[in-house]
Amino acid sequence: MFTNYHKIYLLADEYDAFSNQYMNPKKSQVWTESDASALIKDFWAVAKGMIDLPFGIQKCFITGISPLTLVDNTSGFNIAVNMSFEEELAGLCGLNRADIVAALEKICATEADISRHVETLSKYANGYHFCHDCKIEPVFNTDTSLEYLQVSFLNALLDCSFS
Amino acid sequence: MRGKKFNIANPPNSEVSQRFLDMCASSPGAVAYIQQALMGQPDKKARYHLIPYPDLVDRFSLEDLQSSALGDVEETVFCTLLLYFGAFTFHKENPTKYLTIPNHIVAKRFGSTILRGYRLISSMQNAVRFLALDGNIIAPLQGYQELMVARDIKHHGYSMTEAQHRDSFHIAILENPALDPQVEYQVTKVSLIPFSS
Repeated sequence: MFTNYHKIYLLADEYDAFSNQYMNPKKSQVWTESDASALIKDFWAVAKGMIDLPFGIQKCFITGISPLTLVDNTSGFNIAVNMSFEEELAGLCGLNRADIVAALEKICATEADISRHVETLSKYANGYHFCHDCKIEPVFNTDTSLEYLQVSFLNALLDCSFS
Repeated sequence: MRGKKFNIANPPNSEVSQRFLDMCASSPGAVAYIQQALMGQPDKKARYHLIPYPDLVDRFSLEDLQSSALGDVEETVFCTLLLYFGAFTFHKENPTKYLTIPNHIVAKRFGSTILRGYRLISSMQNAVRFLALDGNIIAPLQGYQELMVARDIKHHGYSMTEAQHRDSFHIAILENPALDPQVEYQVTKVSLIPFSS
């Protein structure tokens, strides 16, 4: 009956969203005593319990962790490994220069325009080096870059329409 | 419709959450790190200062952060937190040893957070403008006096050296990215040592 079923891959985004709402170094008790904290601990304790089940959770990938959330929330899920600054994942959360240039080549009319936009984005949105033990290519902030490219694209489109 | 504007210096999404920035502004330990990071490298090889990080902390509680905010313990927890919240990143040339500010958006948010945290942002914008227009140094100095008083809650707060005060004034006010200061003249320090023949 379950031959076509596979195990679950659990993806959790913005893991620290709840606890960040409580982040106040002058009132440290608020978060630890909150219902939200208890709920999250219970959730991860249940998730841990499902890891070994035949049709349970096979893998789990969590984003948005911080040392503050690791200290207590994962006490019920103490089988996770912090890979935040590992080389293999350092390019996951961002765009590289080739991505940016490829998009600009579809938008811009000249090489000079491409260079100008790359220079602007490099100053404002680049520089994220998420690997701690070796040199890699820094990545651009995805949200800021895409918003900038979208507006550049729309303006280029309108320029063509009006010319 | 034509010519839609996107101010990339101040994008609607925030790489560093405002809540976290506000928390940093109320913590002298964090402000010290931010101020240090905003300084350019003397050799101009890097836009922002490099912060050594011998031992980042894997996990810590809000109680630890509270102690750090009051200056009771080593401030490495703030350094670590600044890294995790996107305020710092590993330096691209030497990631095993240094952290730095990734880009101008983060720098500007930090600069404005320091000034906003001490209710100086609007007065300092005017003060720096008047300094450029007529050389009036009084208003920026009054702002720095307020900044010093507001931050002076740590032990040994009066033991700062003249050089530390000078750097603090220079970075927190005169070169604050939030104020978009423009260098008007290149000034070269005159050496009193005679040229050797």
